[in-house]
Amino acid sequence: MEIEAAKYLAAGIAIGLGAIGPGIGEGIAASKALEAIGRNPEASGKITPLMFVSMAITESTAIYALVISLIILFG
Amino acid sequence: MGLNISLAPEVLFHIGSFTVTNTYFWFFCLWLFLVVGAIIFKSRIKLMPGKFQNLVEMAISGAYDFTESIIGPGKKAERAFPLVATMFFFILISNLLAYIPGQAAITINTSGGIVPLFRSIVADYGFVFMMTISVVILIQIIAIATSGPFAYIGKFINLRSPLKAFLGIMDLIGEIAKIVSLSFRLFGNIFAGEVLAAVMLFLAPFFVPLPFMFLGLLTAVVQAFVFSVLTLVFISMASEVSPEKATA
Amino acid sequence: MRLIEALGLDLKIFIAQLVNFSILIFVLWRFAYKPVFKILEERRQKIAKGLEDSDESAKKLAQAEEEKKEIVSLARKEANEIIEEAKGRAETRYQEIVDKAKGDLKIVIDDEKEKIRAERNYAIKEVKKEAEQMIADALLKIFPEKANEASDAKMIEKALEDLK
Repeated sequence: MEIEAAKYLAAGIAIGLGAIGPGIGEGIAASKALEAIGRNPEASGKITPLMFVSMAITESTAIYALVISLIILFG
Repeated sequence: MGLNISLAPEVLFHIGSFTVTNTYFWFFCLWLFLVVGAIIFKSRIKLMPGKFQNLVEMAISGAYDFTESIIGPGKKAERAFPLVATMFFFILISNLLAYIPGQAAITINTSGGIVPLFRSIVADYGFVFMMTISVVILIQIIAIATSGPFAYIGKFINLRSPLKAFLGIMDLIGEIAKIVSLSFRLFGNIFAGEVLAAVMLFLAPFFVPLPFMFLGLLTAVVQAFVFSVLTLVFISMASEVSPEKATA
Repeated sequence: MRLIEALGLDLKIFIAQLVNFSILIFVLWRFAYKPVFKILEERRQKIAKGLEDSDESAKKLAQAEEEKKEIVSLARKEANEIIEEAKGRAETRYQEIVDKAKGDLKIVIDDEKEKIRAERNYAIKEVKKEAEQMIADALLKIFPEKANEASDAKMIEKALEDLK
């Protein structure tokens, strides 16, 4: 295999696998937040921003994967 | 494929040795718009608000209330507010600018080939990196100011036990990771949205890109929000005295 | 590193953006956030003041209402007093007038009575005189020679006295 092709392959695999975990995690965060809002609708104003923040932090893993794939591609 | 996706912003022209990219061009336009708008706004502000003033007041006071709800009321919120709110409004407006219909079609011919005139400002890593690095440096300054220089260094270099030394190194890595995660989150989301929209437009120009554009619109708002909220959370964490010091 | 190049990082643009962004933060803080907070505070105070004023004016209105009631009742009382007094005065005056009228009437009546009495007396005197004369004349006719006027008169007088 040529090194260039291997790089592309590696970058694709890195971001693809890296996106799995945060995808699941964000789904769980959203479902739990919606559950909480369903149980206590008055608290939605407090829950929603917290949900976005925690989802953003969960997303970090995918972002690291993105950075790694960018480094593989261009580094 | 007729699609060329460039990670870097396209160069429009040069002024002397200064390279003007399309994102910098739009950054400057938005900057000028906001500065002039703010000065005009100040001169037109009235006790009886008009529709526009009402909107601005609502946005600013809403943002301030939200800031207070995260960082706590008082001096801290007052100090953090200008930075965080400016970031929020700037990112939000620049993200929404990308949804002005028809702007993607305008291209200009430069020495580097045909390049689109418009590019979402946040889809330029340089700008996001600038904001992030300033935020992270500011956080370090706040942390030093609140807990003192020795406690600040002691957080990272701790030789009392191997576990604490390891945790200190992890903290150091965490600080660096903050820069990467904060900047790439915003940049990655907006850039991915742009690329997705471009690919969809390339594959199926009619109707198919619409749901993706709506998703992109949501992302535009949410990411502006997340970036400023995370900044706020980092600032509030840095400005709190660490529990170790409080107990000691 | 090729990554930096690929991402399009440029030190000059970086510095320009940093400076511009700092200016933007300052300008927005100075020309947008601060005036808005100031005007919001001003408006809040004005509304609070307005509410206070309206409370106060409502209180004043109630007070004025109370005062008005008091004044009206006082005025009514006074009016009643005045009417009462006037009535009393009118009563006394009436009495006075009536009394005076009665007095006047009495005087007039007394006068009249006096007059009538005087007249009667006069008339009686006249009649007496007349009668004396007539009797004297008659006696003179009956007894022409024995006429002595002086004694006659005495006699007639005596007779008349006896008649009485």
